[in-house]
Amino acid sequence: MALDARSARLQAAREEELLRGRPYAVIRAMRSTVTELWSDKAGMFGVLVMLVMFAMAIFAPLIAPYPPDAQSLFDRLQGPSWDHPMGTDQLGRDVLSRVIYGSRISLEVGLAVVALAGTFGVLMGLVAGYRGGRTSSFIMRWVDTQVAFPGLLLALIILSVVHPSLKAIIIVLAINGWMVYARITRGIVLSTRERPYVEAAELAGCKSRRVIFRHILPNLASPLLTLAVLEFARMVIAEAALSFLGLGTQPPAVSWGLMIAEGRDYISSAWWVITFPGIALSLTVLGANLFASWMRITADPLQRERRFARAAMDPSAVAR
Amino acid sequence: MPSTSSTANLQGASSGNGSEPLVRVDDLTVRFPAGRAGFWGQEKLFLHAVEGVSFEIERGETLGLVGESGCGKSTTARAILRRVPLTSGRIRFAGQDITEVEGETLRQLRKGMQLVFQDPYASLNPRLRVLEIIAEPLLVHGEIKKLREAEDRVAELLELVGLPPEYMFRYPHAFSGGQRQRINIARALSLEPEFVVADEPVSALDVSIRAQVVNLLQDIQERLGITYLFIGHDLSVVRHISHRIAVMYAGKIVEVGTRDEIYENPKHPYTQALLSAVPIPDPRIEATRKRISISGAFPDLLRPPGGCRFHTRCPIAVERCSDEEPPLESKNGAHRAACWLT
Amino acid sequence: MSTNGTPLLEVRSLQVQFFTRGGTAHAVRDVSFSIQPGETLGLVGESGSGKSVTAFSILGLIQLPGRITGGDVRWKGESLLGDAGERRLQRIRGKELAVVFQDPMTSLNPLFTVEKQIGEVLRLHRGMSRGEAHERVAELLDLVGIPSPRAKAKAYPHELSGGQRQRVMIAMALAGEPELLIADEPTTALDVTIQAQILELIAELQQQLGLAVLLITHDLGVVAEVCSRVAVMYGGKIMETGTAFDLFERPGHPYTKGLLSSTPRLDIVLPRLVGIEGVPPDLITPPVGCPFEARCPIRIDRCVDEMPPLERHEQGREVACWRAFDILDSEFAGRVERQRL
Repeated sequence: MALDARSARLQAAREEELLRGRPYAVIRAMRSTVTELWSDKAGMFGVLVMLVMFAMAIFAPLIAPYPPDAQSLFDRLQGPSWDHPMGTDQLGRDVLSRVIYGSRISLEVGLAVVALAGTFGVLMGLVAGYRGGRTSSFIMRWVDTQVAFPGLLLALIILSVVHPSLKAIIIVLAINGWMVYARITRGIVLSTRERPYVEAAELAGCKSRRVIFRHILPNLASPLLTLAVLEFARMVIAEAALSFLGLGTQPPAVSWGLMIAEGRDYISSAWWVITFPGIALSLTVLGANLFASWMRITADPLQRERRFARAAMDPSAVAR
Repeated sequence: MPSTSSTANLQGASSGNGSEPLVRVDDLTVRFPAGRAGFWGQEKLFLHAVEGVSFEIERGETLGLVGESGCGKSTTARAILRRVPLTSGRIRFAGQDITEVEGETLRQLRKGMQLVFQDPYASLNPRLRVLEIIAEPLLVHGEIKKLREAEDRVAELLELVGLPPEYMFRYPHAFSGGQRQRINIARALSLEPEFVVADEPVSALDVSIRAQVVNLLQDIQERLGITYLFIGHDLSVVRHISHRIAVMYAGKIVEVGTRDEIYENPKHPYTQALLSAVPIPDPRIEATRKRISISGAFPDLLRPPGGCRFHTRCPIAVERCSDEEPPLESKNGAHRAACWLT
Repeated sequence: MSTNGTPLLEVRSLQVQFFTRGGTAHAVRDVSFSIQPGETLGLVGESGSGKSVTAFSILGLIQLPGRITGGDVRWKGESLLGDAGERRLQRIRGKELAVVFQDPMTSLNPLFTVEKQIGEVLRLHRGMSRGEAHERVAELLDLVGIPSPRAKAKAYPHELSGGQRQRVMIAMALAGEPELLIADEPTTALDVTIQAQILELIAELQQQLGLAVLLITHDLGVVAEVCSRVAVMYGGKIMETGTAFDLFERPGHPYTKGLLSSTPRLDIVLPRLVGIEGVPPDLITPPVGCPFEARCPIRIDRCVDEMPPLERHEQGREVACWRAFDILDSEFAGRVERQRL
């Protein structure tokens, strides 16, 4: 009888904690994220900007008023007008449409590099952190060596030898960018390994793989996400730099960096050709940085409480 | 429930397995590499954490291991649990020499010996529910395949440690320090170990909660016949739960004996000083109490002093103490101390 | 409470709240006490009692998400809150009002030598020159019992042991020639033999220099060794005050009695340790009545609804309980069997 009573209680508790769980937990998580965003306007701005940029890239064909490569020598170098809100460039192409389509390459490169470099770097960091000893030394020295190379120079050298296709750009940037993930991951793994609950798992008889994936990895989620966002911004700029120097995106493809390069000669005569892609680039990077900053504070409980308290401060309370 | 451990059945009193103690430590030495010294870096430095420690723990008893920070008690415990590499010495557990086991054998061995951690906050993975935390050892050793099967066992364990079984679905952050320690204990018991090391299990808890947890540990020992190695620095608490006590200083055992022998008739000057330093919550007694003060600082474990390690601070040290190290020898039957002068 | 002259430090109806996402935690609720010159007051409580928050409030160290939301802190009769108060606090902090924290590892700056750190206090608050500070540092280190003070003055914190670091902290606190020393769990992180030395030192200094001490701790043994008066805190409020001798012998509040019963003693061996069942109250929705009510063995209905005021009983004794002095020895021992959550 007692056992039945207990089973009944367990059932009730399970339902309350677990099953009302799924959709409820997701909604609750979403709602708390929105509250967090609201209390940090800068972060919110960052997120909105990023969302706008990504929406632009995804829905480009639907929102761009003109095809990006539609030339019209009759309309070249027109200033901003109702027809062309951002003006036209030296070949009569609509700058707005080019900015919208340009986001595709810029963001795609950013995401792809982060995915590629991130996966490889995190894996290396995990192995180095957990194994320690010679393996760790080897991997870290490899990281140090690669970091010592001037990244942009290396990229330019490689791209001048290999034809600069989109794939090539992504691979080259990934080769240059995985090290930071490895270092950060290893650092976190080392510090997490010392925690009692990890030791408890090992003492219970967990095999290494389980310890890594179940106990250590979840701690990496926040810091890595923040890092990924910052790296994303850095890659967007890197691609723009490469395109600006002529070894990135090649015409007739369009990217912001390329637009800036092409518009260089017209700075004083037709400022809009170079300014709008520049603004797009800056906004994206700014948005990413603000978002990363918000995430960092949100992930740290103490900082998060401080932010909340600042927002909720009752001005009539005794000042201190 | 499927029978778990391949060694002795735990229900009721400790099963007599002859006179072999459950845990036997012989001349254990642990030295950690600590960098290099010397102009060319030719001298390898070692931290002499534990040196020549020997003791036994009988089934069903609690050995209290006391000493101050850096004395090597935690390292000794972890060496027994095979978490820390030994420099030399042998460890026997349940009649088997386990000094060199590795890999799968070691994993299997872990079923028989568990650890209760000191820090109730950092010893539970904040991302897992209590059910998952306590059931993990069962899952890992194949005793259950899915979490659902563990619920009964976890419910039993939670009741054993005095928590409502419904709590298994919550996360650690919902619990207080004392409750978390109970969960810690439940996890340690899930595989029905014979030997549990409790590493300062109540040091991080409030005074009014400590008693709850210490009494719980005692109750569990009575019901399940578990053997404890209780590590602590609070001598008043250790006294209550231990049958026998070993006092460590600078990596060596300086005195070992039954609880009453140690507390009422301490033979080693360090033990005496330690006991006199413990404050008693009674101002009248405190006002008239004579304190044995020991001056100086803890010895450098990278280059431990010759002779008796305590001689640099001992109030009654003589010349012999700095030249020859006193052995741990019997002063009164099983009551042993390492001192030339008592 | 002694009645001679203006108290050195007076805390009146102090209220401190923490604004968190989970709700507003009322860490300190209406706490009042005072310290006379030369007196040692022990502020005792477990985690969540509000004792450390009280100390930090006095020192002006409460940061967001915490805030002082009511009451006053007065130094020699003048408030330390508000803009004027804050300026006053800046002047006396480090000088007349000194503090020693719990963790000697992190309280000292690892980048500067002992001499530099103590010297900073001397030059700032005592206006000494380099040479004068040099001398005084050696004197102070000697005063706190550090061997070879001149040599140790040149050491960096990581070269010293835990006990020595705590002594250096005390020396630094004494450098300003304070009238009140606030020690927040000064020995909790230390070994018991070192703790004994430090407590002895504090007691000696207190006698030699006529220093007043506010000692915050959870350890009744420490209190018994050093303090002449005691205030017991629970759930953000003061439950009882009195002289150490009196309070330990004849506790008026059930919580004090429970705390005494659950502190294991070296000289008395019980078959089983006695604790207090239950857990501390939730500070976000603190109980309307007495905070200890849920765990109290002698509670009555009134305790749930009405918070008992801190009432004066005999000379120097205050108890906040509807049934003060009713608690008997047996009340806690009798609950041993039902030690559940």
